[in-house]
Amino acid sequence: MENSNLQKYFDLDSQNSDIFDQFKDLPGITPEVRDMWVLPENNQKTTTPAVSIELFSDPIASAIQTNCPAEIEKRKKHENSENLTIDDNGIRALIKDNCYRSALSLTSRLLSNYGQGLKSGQEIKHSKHSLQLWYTRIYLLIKINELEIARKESEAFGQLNNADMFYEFTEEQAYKSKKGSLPNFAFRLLLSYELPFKLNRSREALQNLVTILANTRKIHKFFRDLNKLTEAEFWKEREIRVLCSIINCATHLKNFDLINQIFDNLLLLPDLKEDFKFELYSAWGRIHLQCGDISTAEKKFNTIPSVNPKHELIALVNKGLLAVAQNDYNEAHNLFQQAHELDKNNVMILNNLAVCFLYNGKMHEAIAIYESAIKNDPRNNLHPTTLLNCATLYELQSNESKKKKIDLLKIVSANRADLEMNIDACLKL
Amino acid sequence: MDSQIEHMLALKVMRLTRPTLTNFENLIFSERSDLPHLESEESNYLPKSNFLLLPQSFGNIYLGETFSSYICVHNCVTHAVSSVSVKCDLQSNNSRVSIPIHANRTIPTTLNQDETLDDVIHYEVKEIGTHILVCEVNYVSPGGLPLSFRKFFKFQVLKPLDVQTKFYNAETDEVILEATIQNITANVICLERVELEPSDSYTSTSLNTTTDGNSVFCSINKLQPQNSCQFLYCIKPIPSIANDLKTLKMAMNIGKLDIVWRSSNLAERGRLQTSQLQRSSIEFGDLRLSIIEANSISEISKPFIFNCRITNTSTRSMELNLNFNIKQKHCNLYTGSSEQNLGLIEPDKFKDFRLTIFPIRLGIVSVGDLQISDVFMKRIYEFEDILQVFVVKDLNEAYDLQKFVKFHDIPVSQARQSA
Repeated sequence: MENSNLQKYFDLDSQNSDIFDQFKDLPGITPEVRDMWVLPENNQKTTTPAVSIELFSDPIASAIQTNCPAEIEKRKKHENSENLTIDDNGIRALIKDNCYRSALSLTSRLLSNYGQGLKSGQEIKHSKHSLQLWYTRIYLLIKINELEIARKESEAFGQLNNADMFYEFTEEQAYKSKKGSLPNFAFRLLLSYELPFKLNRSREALQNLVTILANTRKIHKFFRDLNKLTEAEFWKEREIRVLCSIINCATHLKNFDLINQIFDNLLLLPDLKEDFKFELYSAWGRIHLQCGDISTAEKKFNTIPSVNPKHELIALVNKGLLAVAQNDYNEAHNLFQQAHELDKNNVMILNNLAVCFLYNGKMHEAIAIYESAIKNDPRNNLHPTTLLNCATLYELQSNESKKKKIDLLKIVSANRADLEMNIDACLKL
Repeated sequence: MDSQIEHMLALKVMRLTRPTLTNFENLIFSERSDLPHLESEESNYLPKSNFLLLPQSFGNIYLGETFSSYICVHNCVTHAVSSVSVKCDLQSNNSRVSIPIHANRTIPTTLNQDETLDDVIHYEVKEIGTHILVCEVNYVSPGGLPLSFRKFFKFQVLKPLDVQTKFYNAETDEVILEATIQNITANVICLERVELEPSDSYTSTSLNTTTDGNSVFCSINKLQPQNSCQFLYCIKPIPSIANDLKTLKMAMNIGKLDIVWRSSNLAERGRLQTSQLQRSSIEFGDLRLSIIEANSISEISKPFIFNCRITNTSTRSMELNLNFNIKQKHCNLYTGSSEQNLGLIEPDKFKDFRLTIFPIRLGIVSVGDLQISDVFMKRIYEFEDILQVFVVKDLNEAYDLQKFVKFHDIPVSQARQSA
């Protein structure tokens, strides 16, 4: 069953068509355009990755075992596990339900069919699909903060510049007519930036991004010069992603000159959407706010007038954060309250409202916000920040914080398969 | 005070530094053709830190910042506890201050089961070194026994900035102050305001903005740890003092530097003021020569005329002679009578006179070589570098003296841009 499922991908690969075309990015973007990349020197190097771990222990379950073993019965499981298929759709369904560890196990099972599983085979054959599985696997490892495993398993890939990562260098007849990179663009960004960034190696990430940016710009310019607008637009979006990643790195390194330079760079790109520009200035303002430059932050926030309800909401939140920076928690509270009226279910606004309550001396009101938000919509509101803030408030409230934190743990356990932050750190257990 | 007994109340204290802007969500880039991509996913990957996170540690604090804390007293027994009150003192090496708390509540009060008595306290720290927050809770047990307990929270107040000042006395009455401010905190800071608040005897002009009102530091007003930047101020005595040399000599206090900064911890604000800054003393000697009127720019091969004032700052009367002490190397020649009598000048009185030079060299020219002799005492006073003038070829060409660029250069480059 598994093998026949997989055979499909191989067949499709060799027939020179593309399984992933069913998820077309934009109409008119061919796989060649999508997979275009600047060829490295033919270095004859091969890539031999292997899965190092198949099953991941469940940190939430072990927290439950330690603190309230009776509750293990109510541990959240994937809603539709009977109908789960052992293929891409299965992985997608699991990710959608935040079951990241189960999705990870599935990636290793599928990869073993490529001889890249826990017991790696003799001959390793890469295909678009196997690399897509690897990308998904490293992606999920980062999601659940298993960074050491992610680092170890991704080592074999380097920066995806080995010869066997490009159609041009592969000897198989079937690929003769194909060109470009086997691994997807997002995989390049994941290995060059996201993983080192999470591993606290921002400088390295920044260096890698400079190369990625140069290549992306080259291709973007190539299509723009040919006046191929759809393709140019597609690559412009990618250039924006890379520039945003550089901003993230520079923010972490507190390199404000670089941040300003990249924002200026972004604004020079042609035909930017108004929505994006609005969010750009908004993010720029928040970076200034964080580092204490209130007047510049305010200027950035006011650069683009808000024209729709979505902007209105962001503008209110920005003003609220500005008031927090100015130590005016009453004003901040009013602004977050107004934002809350516009979007009652927004967990970020609820969280910020609760923080304002505390700074205004109203601890009980703050706790009430968290408790009702978690009770009303546990699926969406069990956000790591809300959990950590709520646990902090329980510790301030009384000597009975332990009991209340375990109550939170029970809700997490019953509603979320995986959290994007360590559960013990989240709840200060 | 007695740690032996189990108290009916629990005291909890949380230091309220600014909340942090975070987002713990691991937002990872994917495209629509990628396996883990969800349709609902955000379309841009700009930093999305907009969640406020409560402070997670007591931490240190810098001088000039405001110490804030949440104080919470919780009744953890099943019966009511009466006459509950809290007192917060901040103890430092040299002082002990009581921080106001519960200004809007009647204290003492009764707490029922699970009720709390809570409030936020604020205090601007004014001293460096170890501080201890002492919280004392007083209450009366149901049996009528007055009870109390204390909790201590120790923290360090650190020095945030290093300020160094240098004074330059100009030939005029102006004093130039150069203040170097170094960030010695562990984080990036933003200097929001650095101003010289002059004392009553002086007025101050900040030299840290360009002509269009922007800061000379452009957008780069953030100071990385250990980095420093310089601020310049021009300080002038107020007219009534400038005209009275004795008072001017006495007016040593120039003013205070007032510094407001914000940390990169979501703009936590701090403010420091230096003590009175003292100018270096002015020594005029017996005679003081000052320029009262002169152009800063002059044409070559045309007479350049300027007005001087000589003041007798000694205690005796003087009969003065003026002559040019031309040394061969200088190319700027005085014209007119090489020796003139300035007459008798009483102590603290002055006399004005006019001099002319004939510049024969382009560029900045320094005028000096002036000799004044006291006939009575047979004493000679020499003056060098009394005045600088910018000698140009043609006065009709406009110059921006601040930049030393010819103005007519600018329209040319603009023309190039528009073409």
